[in-house]
Amino acid sequence: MADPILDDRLRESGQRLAEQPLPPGLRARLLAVPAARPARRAPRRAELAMALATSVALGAVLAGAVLNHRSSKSGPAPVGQRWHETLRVQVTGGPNGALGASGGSAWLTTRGTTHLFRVDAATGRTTLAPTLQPDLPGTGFPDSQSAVLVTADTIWVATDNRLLRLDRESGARLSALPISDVGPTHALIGDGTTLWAASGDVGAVYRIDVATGRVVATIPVRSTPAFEGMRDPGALAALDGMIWVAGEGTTSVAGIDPRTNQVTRTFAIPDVPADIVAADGTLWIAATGRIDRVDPATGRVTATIPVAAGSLATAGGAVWAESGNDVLRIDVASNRVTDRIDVHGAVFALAGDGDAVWVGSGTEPTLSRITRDR
Amino acid sequence: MAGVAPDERVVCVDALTAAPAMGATAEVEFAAAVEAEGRRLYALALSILGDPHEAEDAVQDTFAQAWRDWAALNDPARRRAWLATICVRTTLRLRRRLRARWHHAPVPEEHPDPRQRNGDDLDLVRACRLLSPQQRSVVALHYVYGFSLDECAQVMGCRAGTVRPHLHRALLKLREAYGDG
Repeated sequence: MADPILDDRLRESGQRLAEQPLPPGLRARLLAVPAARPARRAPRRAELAMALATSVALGAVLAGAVLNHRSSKSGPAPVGQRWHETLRVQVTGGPNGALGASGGSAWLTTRGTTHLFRVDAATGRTTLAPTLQPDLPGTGFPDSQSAVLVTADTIWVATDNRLLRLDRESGARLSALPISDVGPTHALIGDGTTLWAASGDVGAVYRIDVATGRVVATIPVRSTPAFEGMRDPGALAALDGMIWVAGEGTTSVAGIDPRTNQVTRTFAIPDVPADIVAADGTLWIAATGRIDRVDPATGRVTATIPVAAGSLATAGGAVWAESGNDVLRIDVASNRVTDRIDVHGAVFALAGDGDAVWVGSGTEPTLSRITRDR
Repeated sequence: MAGVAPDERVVCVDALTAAPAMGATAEVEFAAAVEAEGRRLYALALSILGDPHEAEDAVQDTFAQAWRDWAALNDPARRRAWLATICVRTTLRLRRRLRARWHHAPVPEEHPDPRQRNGDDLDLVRACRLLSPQQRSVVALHYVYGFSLDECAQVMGCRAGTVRPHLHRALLKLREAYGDG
């Protein structure tokens, strides 16, 4: 196995890489960190700061150009010719936000802003919720993690170590719950009574009583770590009365029994997962180059869809997956990709909304809505 | 002012307006750490993330986190490993937001075919694109930092026995792509 020549080449390459100068401007930004207390990452682009300042100064609804085309004629035709990008809205702010959707609207956080954007499917209008500045020290939503969950009357936004409760209609902040002293929250699921929040660095899932807004149980996730100490329960799914937890740093899935608030099931998976959803009575787990369909009763993989996918969502009875600039629709009856929709930018978030799926993509974030032909 | 060292004066004044227990001494130490470790941390983040812009963000986040906890690290000798630990955690966390790019990282046109064999200039960042996030982390720590498996494990908070299989599998993949065989 030992290959001393390859070993030397890797070592030389690593040294060359480590000796390269820092990119222009980075050194100055790093040296400025102590002066910017409390230290948070500064926006990478000057124009982002300018756009944010303008946005806050106006204090108003300005979220961007609604392109709102009724068919995505500019991109390649989808494979199945049945699902299309029927709404496309560009918003201001940085990329890689969190997305939630319900009842024909989608809510999006964008990195470097302190606002929550709402896009209404019927009108294509984009509105800004009141600033969340008091809960977002520094320059706004962080790089690391945030999550958005929309329930009947509430928007839940998890960021860093807080869970914010916002009024669904006005976006007004109702309360902020400190849920973790250590790490950010990566995922939220729940309903009108109970929320489940996964916190990465803690390696735990929190059960939150919606009525009181309190954490009623902290459940350590004893999944098999790819790296011990780096347990990262980053995705949650609900199926068969259980809460299923998959993490970036693990090669197993853990099942929490809500009756006991304990992990009662664990099964191994072939690779470190990127996301997990429940559909058609099974779990769907995205990993590198594949989506595995897993029977939670046995832990066995019952089907594998060989696609490169990251985020998953369910909508219209199908599983949806991001795949680069494309969104894939996977038919749960045949386990096959039936549609491939190009959204013309790297997809960073998916959210199901009834029969539609919302897609966040691009470095200048664009929110798309994909629906079926009528 | 007799008998008062310049550094002590600055610390006292700074402590009135700045973070508690953080003063010019800490800032000087911090600046020294940026100079000493910045490039290597950027190389580490770039190897793991594969994206120069995101690697910049990761390094900036790393130093921002480090500054917040600067006073907690009493042993400067451990600072290098400490920063590497923060950086690895930051990049792996950032990775979740970049899943699409991880799975579909475009291959820059200026780079040669990754399957070039026996070439002199192996590109570690490009090579890491063939690997899983865990494998990238181990490879970057081992070959960019020169850490032993024990040291890699320490940075990652795990046992060497956990790291070893990742490095083994990574080298098998890289040997297939870059080896002479």
